[in-house]
Amino acid sequence: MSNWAIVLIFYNIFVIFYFISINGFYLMLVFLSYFGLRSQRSVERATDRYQAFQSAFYKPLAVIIPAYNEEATIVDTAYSTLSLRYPEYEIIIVNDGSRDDTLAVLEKEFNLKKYARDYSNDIPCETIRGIYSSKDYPNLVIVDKENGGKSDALNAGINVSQFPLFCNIDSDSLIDADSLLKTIDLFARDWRTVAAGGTIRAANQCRIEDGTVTEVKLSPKFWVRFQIVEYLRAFLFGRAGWSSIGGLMILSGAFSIYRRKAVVQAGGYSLNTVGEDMELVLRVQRVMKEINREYKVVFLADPVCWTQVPESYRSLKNQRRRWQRGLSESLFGNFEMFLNPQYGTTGMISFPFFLFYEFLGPVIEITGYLVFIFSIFTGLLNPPFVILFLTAAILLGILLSTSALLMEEIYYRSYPRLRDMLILFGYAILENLFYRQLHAWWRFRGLLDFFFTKRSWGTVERKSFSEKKQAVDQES
Amino acid sequence: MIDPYLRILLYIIIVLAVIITLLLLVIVINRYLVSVNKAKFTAKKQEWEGLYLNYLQGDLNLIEIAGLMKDKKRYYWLWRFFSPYLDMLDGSDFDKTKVLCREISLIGHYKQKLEHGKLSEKATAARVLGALRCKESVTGMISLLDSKHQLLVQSASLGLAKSGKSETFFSAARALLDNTYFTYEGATEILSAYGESVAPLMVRFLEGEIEILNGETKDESLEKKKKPFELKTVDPSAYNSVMIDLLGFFKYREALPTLQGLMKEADPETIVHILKAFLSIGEMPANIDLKPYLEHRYWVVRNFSARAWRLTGDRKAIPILEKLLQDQSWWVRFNSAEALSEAGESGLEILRIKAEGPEESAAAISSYVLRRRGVEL
Repeated sequence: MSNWAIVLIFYNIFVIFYFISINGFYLMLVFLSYFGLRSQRSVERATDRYQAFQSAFYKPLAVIIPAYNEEATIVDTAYSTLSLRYPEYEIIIVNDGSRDDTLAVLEKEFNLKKYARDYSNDIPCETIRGIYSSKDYPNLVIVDKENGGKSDALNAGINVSQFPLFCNIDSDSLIDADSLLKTIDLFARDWRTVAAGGTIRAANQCRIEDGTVTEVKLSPKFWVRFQIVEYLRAFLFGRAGWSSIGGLMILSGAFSIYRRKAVVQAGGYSLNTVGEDMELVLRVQRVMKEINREYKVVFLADPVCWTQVPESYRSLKNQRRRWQRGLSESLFGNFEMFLNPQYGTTGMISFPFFLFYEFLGPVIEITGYLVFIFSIFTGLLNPPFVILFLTAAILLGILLSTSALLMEEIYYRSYPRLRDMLILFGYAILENLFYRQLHAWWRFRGLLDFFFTKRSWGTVERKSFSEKKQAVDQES
Repeated sequence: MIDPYLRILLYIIIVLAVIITLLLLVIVINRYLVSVNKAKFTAKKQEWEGLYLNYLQGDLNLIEIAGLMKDKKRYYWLWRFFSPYLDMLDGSDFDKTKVLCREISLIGHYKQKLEHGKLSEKATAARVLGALRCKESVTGMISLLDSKHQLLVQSASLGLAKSGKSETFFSAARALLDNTYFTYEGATEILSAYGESVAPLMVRFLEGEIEILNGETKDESLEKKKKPFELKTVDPSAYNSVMIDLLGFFKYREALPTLQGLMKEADPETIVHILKAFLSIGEMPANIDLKPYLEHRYWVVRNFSARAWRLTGDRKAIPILEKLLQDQSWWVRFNSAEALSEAGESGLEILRIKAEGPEESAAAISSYVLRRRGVEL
């Protein structure tokens, strides 16, 4: 047997073990998240949310919304945020030097007026051109600044905010009325909490009235349905599972809440990554450890943020490439956490998992397929084995996706019609037949981007939530 | 003959396919059961509503309605039905509802769960029994305060608060602040459910604190009151802050002299809480001198003092407010300008002069506040 054949056989064995270990991890996460979500439900039942809403004790909070060329969605997002149930909060919309009429539509809709509000320079950011307040909504603040990217816009918002907690929301996202209250509860019930986040769901096709999702509908779009299954899997068993063992490494940039002081101590959002959300979570953990402060990063499945997910192949591909690049940048920017017992579960389990399975996963998956095919043609593997192995792999993938659907069904039932759940079940099956492989390819391309290209806000098609306006291409 | 490896793979495939099919079935069956249960509960609720209103109006007696409502299998439904009423009712209607809940064994069922249930059942039981103000369950709920499960401490504290037993306040406060990870805002939130009846107790505690700091104790019962306050992990000032916030929340005017007394030797954090309490109560002791607080080194104290100035309108402090228009903190400048704008014509005149003066920050904030008030420059 030639040396090449031996290498191929070993690689095949490696891929099989890799497959077994990654799925073993995922199954463990499914179990952990099941119990984690059950415990979250018990806490929810013991909490008197109505009383909390009336509370004068909860810490005030700033909601920061970075906006770049968001004239189509920004007014809906602002109204959605204004209708939140929370005792005391202010909304800071940061116009990051938009080239469209983002500032103008805000000025027209909210009767803005420039005012002499002071702000700190805790975190470096591009020049702030002006701060505006609304005559109609006293808790609405608009910051107009030079273009510097999403992270820079968030940093400017943090500088302007004066409250001890801040929440960042994407300008194309809407959060449920009680979401702030539910997430803040995590800070109130544990002084160690420095960051917390909730679930992101696809708002495409949902009925939205006055900036609030009033009816959850399943989008007829092919790519959107795949993403719905993907989001359910990522949040209901991925993050819920990691959170239940204290190993959470990422909170969604579309909706998360932080202690301002902790973020300022960590130096704010990084300008050198497209995965600023994950990078910040990791850096905050590192800084907390450096200053010997006990900390917790937590995920709660119930507070929901609705976002427009990409509807076209091109948009989706670009988004996933960007996410993979962001993941890579975050991991390598915080590499000292890798197998570092100081960081507990995060350092010893989550970080190695993300490095071996999320970062290297696309390479192993793509090369694994190629080597399998090559091995069949060269007679190194017998075809029945490969066919059965691939069938088992696909079924295991389906099992994981459908487990997330089961948890959605048991705990939340966001989709009121059974028909929608059955359609999603179908997509959970279909997903593993080609979408997963395509996704691996996009992630592989993202890895190449990580090594060879530069950052940007990305290209995502934006549509008004109320669908009154035309789609707007957002370019950096 | 199939290769053993292939056989194993085949078995795995069959098992996976069966599990996936079962998941699909569970989803469909669960959805069906949920919709059936929802319909049943809605129907039951409508039926119970009519019976319950008849009972409150006296058209049905206790035995009759208990016979019609008693449903051993559906205690959680019964709780869900009564829950909104219990939050709103008081007086004889509440008492009648409580008697009914006892008669249909709802209280007995949850008392049993409080003692022998699983963690989540105990938590729900504490909440139910608290809402029903079951004083006989207080001992059981107090025992939960020492639990290592934060959920139980939280539920027991809330249950005790709602049960109306004011004397358990200190035990609940100690448990929340010492035995759990609750922030003091979170603990205060739960303790606020005790209602205003605990305010006199808190005042006594705060006064006892002062006497002990001075090395004197006049009343032995105060010492006893302090017993449950053997501090373990939390800074003692956190307890004071919780109580000060609650006194403000309850707008307890009788606490004003106590709060004023505390201010003299308090740390900046506590001073802020006291000033906030004054603002919540909407009143300050008449003889209070705000000058040292307006000139305090900590900007949050200066900020809240400027806000609280409006409660006294002390004209001697106007020159300090004028000086604060150049403070480093925007909030201090803003609240000082706001205070001056409410100080009559002399205050507005100071703002007009400052708005056109050379000091940049004072000019900016003065013009901003004057414009907000609709005053032309």
